Amino acid sequence: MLKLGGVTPRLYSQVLRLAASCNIHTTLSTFSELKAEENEEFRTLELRSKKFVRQPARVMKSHNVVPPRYKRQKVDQDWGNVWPAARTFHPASVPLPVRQGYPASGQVTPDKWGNAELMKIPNFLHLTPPVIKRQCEALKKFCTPWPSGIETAAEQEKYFPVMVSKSTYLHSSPTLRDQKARIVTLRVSLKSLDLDDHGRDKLLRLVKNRHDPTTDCLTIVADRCPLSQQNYDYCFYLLTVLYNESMKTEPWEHEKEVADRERYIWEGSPSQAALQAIIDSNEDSTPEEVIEEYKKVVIDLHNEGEDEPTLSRYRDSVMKLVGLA
Amino acid sequence: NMAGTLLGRKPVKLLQRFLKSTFCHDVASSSQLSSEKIVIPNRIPRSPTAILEALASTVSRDSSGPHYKYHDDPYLTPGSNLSKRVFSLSKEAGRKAARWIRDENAAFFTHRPDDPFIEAFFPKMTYNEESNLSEETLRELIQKCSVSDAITVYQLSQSKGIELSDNVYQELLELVAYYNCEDPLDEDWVEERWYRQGVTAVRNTWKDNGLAEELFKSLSTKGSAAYGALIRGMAQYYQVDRAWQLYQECKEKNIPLDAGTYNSLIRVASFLRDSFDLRWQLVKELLTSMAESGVSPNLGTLNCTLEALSQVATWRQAKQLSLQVIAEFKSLGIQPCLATYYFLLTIHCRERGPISRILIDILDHIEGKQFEIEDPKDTFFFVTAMDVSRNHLQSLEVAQRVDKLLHTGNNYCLIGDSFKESIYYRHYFALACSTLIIEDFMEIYNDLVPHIYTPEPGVMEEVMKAISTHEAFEYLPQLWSDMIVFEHTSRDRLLSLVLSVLTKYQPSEENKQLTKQLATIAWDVWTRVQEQDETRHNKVSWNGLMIGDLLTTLVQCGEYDKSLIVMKEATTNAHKILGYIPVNALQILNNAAIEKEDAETCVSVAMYGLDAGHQETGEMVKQLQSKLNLSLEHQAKLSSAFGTELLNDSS
Repeated sequence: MLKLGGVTPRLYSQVLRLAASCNIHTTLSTFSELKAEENEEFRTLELRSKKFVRQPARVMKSHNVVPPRYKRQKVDQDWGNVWPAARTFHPASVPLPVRQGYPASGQVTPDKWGNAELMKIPNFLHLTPPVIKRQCEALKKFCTPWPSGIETAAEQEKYFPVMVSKSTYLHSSPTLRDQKARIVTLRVSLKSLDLDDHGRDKLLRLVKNRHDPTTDCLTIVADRCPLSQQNYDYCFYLLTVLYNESMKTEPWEHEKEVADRERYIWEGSPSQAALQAIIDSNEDSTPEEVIEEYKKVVIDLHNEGEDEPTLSRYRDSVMKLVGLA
Repeated sequence: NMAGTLLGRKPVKLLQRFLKSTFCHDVASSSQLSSEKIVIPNRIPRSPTAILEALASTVSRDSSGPHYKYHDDPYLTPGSNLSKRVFSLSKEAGRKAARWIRDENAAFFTHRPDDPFIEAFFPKMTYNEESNLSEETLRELIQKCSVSDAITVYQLSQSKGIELSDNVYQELLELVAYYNCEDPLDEDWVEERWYRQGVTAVRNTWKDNGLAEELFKSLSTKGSAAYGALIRGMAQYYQVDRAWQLYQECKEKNIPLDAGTYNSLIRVASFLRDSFDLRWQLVKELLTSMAESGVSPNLGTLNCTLEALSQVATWRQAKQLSLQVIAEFKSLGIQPCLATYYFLLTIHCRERGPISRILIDILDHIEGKQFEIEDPKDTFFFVTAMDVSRNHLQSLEVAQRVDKLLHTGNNYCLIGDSFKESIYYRHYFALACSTLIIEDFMEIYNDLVPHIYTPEPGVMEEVMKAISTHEAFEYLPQLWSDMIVFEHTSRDRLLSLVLSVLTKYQPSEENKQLTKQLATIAWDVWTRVQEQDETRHNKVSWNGLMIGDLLTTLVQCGEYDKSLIVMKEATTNAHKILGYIPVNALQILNNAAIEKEDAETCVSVAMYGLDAGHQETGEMVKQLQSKLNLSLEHQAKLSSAFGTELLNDSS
């Protein structure tokens, strides 16, 4: 820092202006310092700027935060008002000290604050039993009583064998419509269709995998029309047609061959001929039950496929037949 | 088990009767329906949203959390009235900005996936020279009540020379007269409407020779509808002279007017005459001419008559007349609404006048009923009722009845706007504070505060006074933290009140924790005031009483060191403190210092006391000398200040 003696104020300010025009950094602090010394005889001329003085970091004002909501909640509060609808877990509103997650080594299970595990899973806090009860009470006025006479499943099956279902969708988006609402499903149990063997066989061939063998139910799904009413009509049309077609016998159906048969028939099969040959060649008359048993076992083997129980039964039966058992 | 394998999330199962007709011939088995008929009851008809409404009715307001418009997070929940207002309005400002951006860049918003078309999501149509205009456009705009757009289209069609029918002119006249050629605040800006104070000054704002009158002149046949619209508009915006002129014109030309027009004239009758008698006479004239023309009065007539009476409420006959009016209208079959009751209250429950118990009669009549909005002044009822219960009747029971009515069904919608809501709760709160014992009051406090109602500083003062009277110090920590959240800590009256309440507390063995908490509060007051920004325009500055209370509290609660800091600050910056510390505070500090054998403090206390000119300083010095051994330095100081005789006297 050069100290030049006898520098007038005017010269001094000129120097500062010069410094500014030459982009020499003159900080405010140096200016004030210099101003203070102006009254003295000798003023200091600073050509080089002072080192940058770090300003203290801005102190962030802490906001006056309301304590979390669960602290204000009474023990006997009405929870249905706090959590009226399904909602992602919100730790400040839930008064329970729940913990979830795998703890880091040496730590406890993570608590509820900022817990992604708790937020990911669905919670049913909106469906506590008192709330469910209250909602059911509110909805009761829209419900009619169950009709009398169809309390049991058997009666329902008897009077209303066909079940039609469709879904409606509610969207919170620009469009109300959902294409899936046109899908109509029709379910009927084949027992209530009163088909004979031929009819049942023909129907099963026609519907293929729409029939579920375990429940013996035919399910028809229609979605080819744009409106569900149209699909509904189409389902019933299909049911009608299927039934009528399966009741009819076409002239060419007699061309059904052994390979086309849906199940193995004993009468007229090579196994029957073979058995007959064995029986004939047997000196002692084979008992009826052995024959019946063999017949049954062979039918099972063909119809149900070859697996451990059927094969073992076949073996037993053959042993009995041959007389080795 | 009828649960089927179904698609979709919300299956609707239909049980369908098996159609007999689908069966043809040869059905061997017994699929016939049995002779016993199954009767399926008819579906109960319901609206599309009936189920949602039923479920919504099971949910009511939860007072532990913020209003649903705020983000539910502890850090983002507003506490004070100012922050509540700022948060809601800034959120709405964001919506306004979004809408502005959308309207500015209308060319970019062409994607239309919605079916059915949602008009509110799309940029607003602007009408200029090139747009295709017709009478239909104008009609639609009038239906939507977009006043400025309608005016623009009208002017454009005038310049383009498009013919418009008289019907459209009439509709446009009605629109423009009702809104006085200005757009109303958009219905979407709910927060602005909520925070806007509805009371506008009663002065003439009608646009003379504006579009309404232009349209009126351009009508080929000025029928009763046209005159009616114009009179009503003028009366609404207080252009009463012209309205009266038009009315006289109608009378001369024998043009019939409808009930609404008469109502609007009755409302402004007070501006047409000066004395009370003449005003009522004018109202009666209007009513008789209404009867002569064969126009049947409606609820609006009742309300406007009572409004006119409420403007002459200081007249002796006003009360009697109001009751007569109600009775007469009841005989006509017109039931009063909430606005009617509001006017009755303003007429009967006056500040300077006998106590009227009309509110109790009204409540008996309307308890448990649900109301819909029938008159714009309906929203004034609840505020006025609460005001009357607090100031006029001073009965908490009545106030609770009013509150119960407010919370019946959907009646809360009739609270009006935020200003009325805050005044309503202010009255309720203050009444509860003055009437109930402190425990019951704190229950109400915990229920309403801070999410439903944030007390104003004035109300907070009353609460503090109640606490002080009942000496219920255990509530002070909660109240102090609430005061911090409500941003009341910059009000010096409140702070001094808090400090004076704190001094009343006598610590004891059982409530050590409370003692600590109260000491924390006192210290917090100190820190907050000390750490205030120097440049604030409404700084809280200490005065002697506050410092005195502070010292007393700190010493009594055992925070001796902190009191020393305060004392030091007081002595060094005595010029910043208004007034002097009262002597009892100094005495308490002195006694504490003597106990701690802190001679330095005692000496400085004595010096301060001398500066302050307290008489009892001498006593304090004597006490000091007798109890403690003073060092030479201290003795020298004291003697120089007090004179050697005093010191010699004691020794």
